[in-house]
Amino acid sequence: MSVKKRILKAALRKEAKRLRKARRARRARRSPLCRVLRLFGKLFALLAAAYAALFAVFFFDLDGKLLYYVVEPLLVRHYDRMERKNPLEMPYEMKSE
Amino acid sequence: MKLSAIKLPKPSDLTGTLRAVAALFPDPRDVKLPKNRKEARKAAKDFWYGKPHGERRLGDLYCEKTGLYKHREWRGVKDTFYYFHMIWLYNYANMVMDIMKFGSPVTFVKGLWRYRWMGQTYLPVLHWFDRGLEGMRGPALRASAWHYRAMTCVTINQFMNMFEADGNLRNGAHNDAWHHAMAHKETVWGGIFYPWMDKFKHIPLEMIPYFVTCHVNNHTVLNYIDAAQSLGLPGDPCPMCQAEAGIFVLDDVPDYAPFLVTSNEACDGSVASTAIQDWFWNRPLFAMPQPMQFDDPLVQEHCANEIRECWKFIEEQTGVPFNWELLKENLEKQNELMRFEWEKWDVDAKTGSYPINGVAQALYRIYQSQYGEHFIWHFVDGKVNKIMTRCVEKKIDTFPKTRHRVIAWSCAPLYYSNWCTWAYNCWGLNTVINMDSLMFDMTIRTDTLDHCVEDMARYHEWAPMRRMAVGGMHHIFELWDYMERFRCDMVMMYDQLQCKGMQGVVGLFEDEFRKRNIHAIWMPHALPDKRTVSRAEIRRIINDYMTTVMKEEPLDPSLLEFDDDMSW
Amino acid sequence: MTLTCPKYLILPYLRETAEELRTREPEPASPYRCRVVLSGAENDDPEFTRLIESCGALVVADRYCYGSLPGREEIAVAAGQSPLDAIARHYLTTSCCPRFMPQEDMRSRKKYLADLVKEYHADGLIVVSNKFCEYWSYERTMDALILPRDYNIPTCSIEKEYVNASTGQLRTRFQAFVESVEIKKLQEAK
Repeated sequence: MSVKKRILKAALRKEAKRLRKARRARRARRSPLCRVLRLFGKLFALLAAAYAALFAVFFFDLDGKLLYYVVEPLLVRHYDRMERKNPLEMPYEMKSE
Repeated sequence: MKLSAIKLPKPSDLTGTLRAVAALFPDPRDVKLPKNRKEARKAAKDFWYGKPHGERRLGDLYCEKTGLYKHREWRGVKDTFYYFHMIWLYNYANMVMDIMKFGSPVTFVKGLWRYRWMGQTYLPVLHWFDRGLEGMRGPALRASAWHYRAMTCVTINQFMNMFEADGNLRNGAHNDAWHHAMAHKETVWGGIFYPWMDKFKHIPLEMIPYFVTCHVNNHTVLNYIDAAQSLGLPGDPCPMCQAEAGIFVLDDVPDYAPFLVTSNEACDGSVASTAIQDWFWNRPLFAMPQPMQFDDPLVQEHCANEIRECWKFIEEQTGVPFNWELLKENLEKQNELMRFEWEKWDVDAKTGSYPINGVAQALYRIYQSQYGEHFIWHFVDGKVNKIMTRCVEKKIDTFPKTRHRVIAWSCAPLYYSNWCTWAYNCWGLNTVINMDSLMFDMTIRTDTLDHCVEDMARYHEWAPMRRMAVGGMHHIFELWDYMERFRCDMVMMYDQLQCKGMQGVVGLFEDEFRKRNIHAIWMPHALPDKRTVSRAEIRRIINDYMTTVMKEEPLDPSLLEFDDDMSW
Repeated sequence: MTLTCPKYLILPYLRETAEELRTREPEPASPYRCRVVLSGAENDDPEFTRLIESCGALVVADRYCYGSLPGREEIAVAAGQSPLDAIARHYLTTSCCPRFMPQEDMRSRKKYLADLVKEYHADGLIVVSNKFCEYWSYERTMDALILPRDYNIPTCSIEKEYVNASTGQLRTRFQAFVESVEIKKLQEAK
């Protein structure tokens, strides 16, 4: 690697370290309320993303497409290959118990 | 493994695959942006309220052949989000909760892995909702969806009960649940088992493996019909009974109960299929046949005796005596359901505010009345009552595009039970009532045991497909009275090609239709077997009648012709 | 014919045949290649029986809806019982119609056929049902599976129209059945 690239890499590493330190310091300065609000914010964002994903699955019928093209063919192949007992071997005397 | 052994798909194969996947989704090129303020206002209105009936083009939503949707219908903000929350999410969540409530997820997975009818049919159940509720809005959407919810709950209850008791899932071992289960033919009314309902579960034998599968995924049953015919059975007997025998031939019946109660409901076919079921299931069986021509008062005592004999058999098998109080209690709950059903018919007959579509009305009624008492029927009736009361009070026209009030008569096609939804969306044919709904049209007295048994005997004689289809000509001709009562101007005459009972009266009906100048469309079908008369053929027959005889234009031309040959 | 013919007309002939049977010598060589019991549904066409016999199978007993067994058995009228009551009870208790669903009835029908084959020294069984008879479609299917398996009785299962059409196809089936019975007899003899 050339000298310039080495110097650039070192500088970037130093900058990243400085930013991380600054972020830690900012977090330490936050009030508990702020932390709770940020947590709720992240939770809300997660729920919103999940809601949007569910709505996308619903609206574009992704559940139906998955079941039709993936799940059902796999299961049908399994059922077709299953070993089954032959009902014609069932005895035909009276079951008295 | 060497890198050189990995075969990458050719670019042309990938292109084909991508095209096929793209065809499953809406084409962004089809989205038309508004060009001016007027169009923008219209687009905003359509977004908020949903497109008016004539502009919906529901047929364009289908993926070719599969019946899947490129995207689900946009019904306006309110109804789309209602569908998303209260139908799609609600039912998925409740299905999971029901599985946990009625058994364990492990048993469910074992059952799913073991039985074709489980894995192939019941996973896509929400699509069954979609098909039945296409185009529905407002109270009609809500009330009809509640009916579907009830049927789903009872279905889950039944198969979880089967799996919890199933010896096949336990290497042949019979647990306590097995010893406390009572198996019966699906056409035996569940009320027979009310006196033992505190300690025992009655579980119909074929309702879940066969009957409900036909509505949800019409491919599953074809395996069973073919299996029955592989034994040498000819193709002309009723395919319902063939399928009922076929689930045994394919070893797809859970081993969940120590005895079986059968019947000759609805007709000869049930008797005949019992012979095969009896052989393959190989356990004590009680046959409880009821007379078909039941108007003769001399047969009533015989019918009542059959019920008493059945109770004796159950006592012998279970070792638990008959409980009159329990029978009374459950019959009174069932009578409540019947009284509400009469209220619904009243609203249906006298107003335009009946909020339940044809398919929900038919399936819910036959399921509820045949299966018997279950808590979910009361829960759902409560919800529907609220919706219906509001519709009547506010005079809401629940099916505003109704051009014809249709009564559907005879045995319905199970693989296309949602034809009524299509017919309303395409032609404005509102199927307000059907023959199977009008069965079991009575309450049962609980003042004394003798009166109770007398009414139970009559109840059996009035069973679905029994009273009208084989009970005698004057019963099948009750159609005219019901047409008048429900203000119907059109008849959808189901023509089950393998039903010997109904085929004998085809000519009589045609004469009467001509004499009375009634518009009647004959819909041929083979009950659960979609191969004999396809859904497309059924639609073509209705289209032909509506264009050539009624000379009407379709409300939604995109629904006239589409290929759903491989759909569920 | 004997079901509907006036008794006074047919009784003399029956008495004459009964007398003749006492002294009749069996034919030195039977023209038939095997003996069969004919079972099944509504079969009121004697030409059908003639068709079977023309293929080399002698029908030694007939157990179909209008057949001799059990239809022509004696109906005993007990003291104090009305004839109508006796007839009704007889039909309910002796009928081999597949519409009877109790488990023991379903099994006794198979045993009855097996006993007939044994009693009449038949080599095989032909079960015939008419198209569109639901009861017999299933009963015939089961007879064709259970009788060979559990009773070792060669069984030919036939579905036909009520009117005796397609005689060519039926003839082929019966001829093939007769040959298979002959082969079985030869193999058993070895």
